[in-house]
Amino acid sequence: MEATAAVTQNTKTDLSQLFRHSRDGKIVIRAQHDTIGQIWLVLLALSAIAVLGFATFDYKEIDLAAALQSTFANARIVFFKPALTYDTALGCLYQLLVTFCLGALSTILGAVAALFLSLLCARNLSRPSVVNVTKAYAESIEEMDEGTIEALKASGANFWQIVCQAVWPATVSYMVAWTFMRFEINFTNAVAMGAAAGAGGIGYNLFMAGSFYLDLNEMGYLTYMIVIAVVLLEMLSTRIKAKVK
Amino acid sequence: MPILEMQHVNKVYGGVTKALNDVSFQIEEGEFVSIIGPSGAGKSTLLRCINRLIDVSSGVILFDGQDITHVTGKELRSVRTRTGMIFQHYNLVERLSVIENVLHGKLGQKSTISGMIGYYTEQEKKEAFEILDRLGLADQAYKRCDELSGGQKQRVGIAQAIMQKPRLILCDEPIASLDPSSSKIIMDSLKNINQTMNITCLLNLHQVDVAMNYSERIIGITAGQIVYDGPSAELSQSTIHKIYQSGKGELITDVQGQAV
Repeated sequence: MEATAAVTQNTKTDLSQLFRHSRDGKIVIRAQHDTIGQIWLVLLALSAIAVLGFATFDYKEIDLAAALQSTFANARIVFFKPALTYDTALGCLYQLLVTFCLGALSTILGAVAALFLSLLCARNLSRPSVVNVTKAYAESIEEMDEGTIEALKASGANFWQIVCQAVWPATVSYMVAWTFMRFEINFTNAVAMGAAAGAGGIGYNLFMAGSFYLDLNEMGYLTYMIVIAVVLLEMLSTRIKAKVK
Repeated sequence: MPILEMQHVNKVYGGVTKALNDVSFQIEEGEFVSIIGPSGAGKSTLLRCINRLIDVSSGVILFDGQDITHVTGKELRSVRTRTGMIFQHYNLVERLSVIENVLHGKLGQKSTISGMIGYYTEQEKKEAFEILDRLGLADQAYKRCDELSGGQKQRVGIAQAIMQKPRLILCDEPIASLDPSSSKIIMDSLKNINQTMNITCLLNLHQVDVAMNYSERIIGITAGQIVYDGPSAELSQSTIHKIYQSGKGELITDVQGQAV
């Protein structure tokens, strides 16, 4: 009713009382609970970490041209001259089977756990407290509404304006959540790569402690460190996902 | 001169399905016209042909005296900025503020860059506030759109359309998702901007009684063809049944008729 009155009477209240001003005195148009700024911060932080990583690598005075050349040479051997020296073909097949079984086992266990968890997390089936953790994540996966794009198109907006004003704000939380998920996966992959391929990082130390020095104390210490790091990362990403929804 | 003229417009989907079949009519400036007809009769297609979200198969569309049937690029953008559109599902950017969504109405008149970064002049912002105030939503300006009710969202949709300073507003089922009270607010708002700002309104409606109450003129469409075009006062029960291809007692309006 009050709205109808407002429409018909067209009340002349002092609108400037409602304006919010930024530091330079201009009228603010962003929402009160704006999250886009925070999202930029997260993306910036991730980029900074990436740059820092590149900058602090120990390059050991490698000549880039020579390194590239030998990389290609190695790749040629790996891809075009495959041959067995220490293993037998049958032995390899057996190991492949073992790996395959491990993969299947973890997938089945994972699927059972995921099914159980998804039942707990589904909003329509569960209490809100359980849902809260995954809510932000699930919501951000919701697909972009085509109608929004149509509406801006109908008002004469062009492609790039639509991308920046509709697609970006609608999907950015999904992107951040996805990015963080990749970051977590990549971190654990990096640990494994360090161990398996000697690529450096804590995984390599773990590999050396376990297989070379046979120092179980150090192995335990390093394992705890990784576990703590992963848990911290997981907590951080859960917080960020909850924030950007 | 009519603001809108459709001349023998046809729209064929996939070479067989005739969504629009020889549709011709004229709309004068300042009119408030409702289009009624069963679902799938081609009402949405018709509206979307007018702002060229859908291209017609044949026929001519004149908007403000200009043949817009095949305009492209800048000219098409210009046509669209002069035509506002309101949708059943509001189609706002839910994560952005109310005021930002209203200002989106100005995108079509902005340069690509300033539209991309969302740069608006102080004058435009004040204008957006004034339009929101007109619709009773000025105090909600800094809320995110996902915090609003359906009726409020639709009023933001109307504000966005007004922001374009359009000559014509196309409304595609503007109240189909709203409760009766919000529906009244929306219809009153549309009628109000039609009368005070002289913006021509063309609406798709499912509610025959609402169409008859608010508009002087009704166009009835069945299977892509116009079967009625005239004053709403002269729309008889038998014509309504012809539009909806139904027998006596098969429409919800019949039930209401018996009750009253």
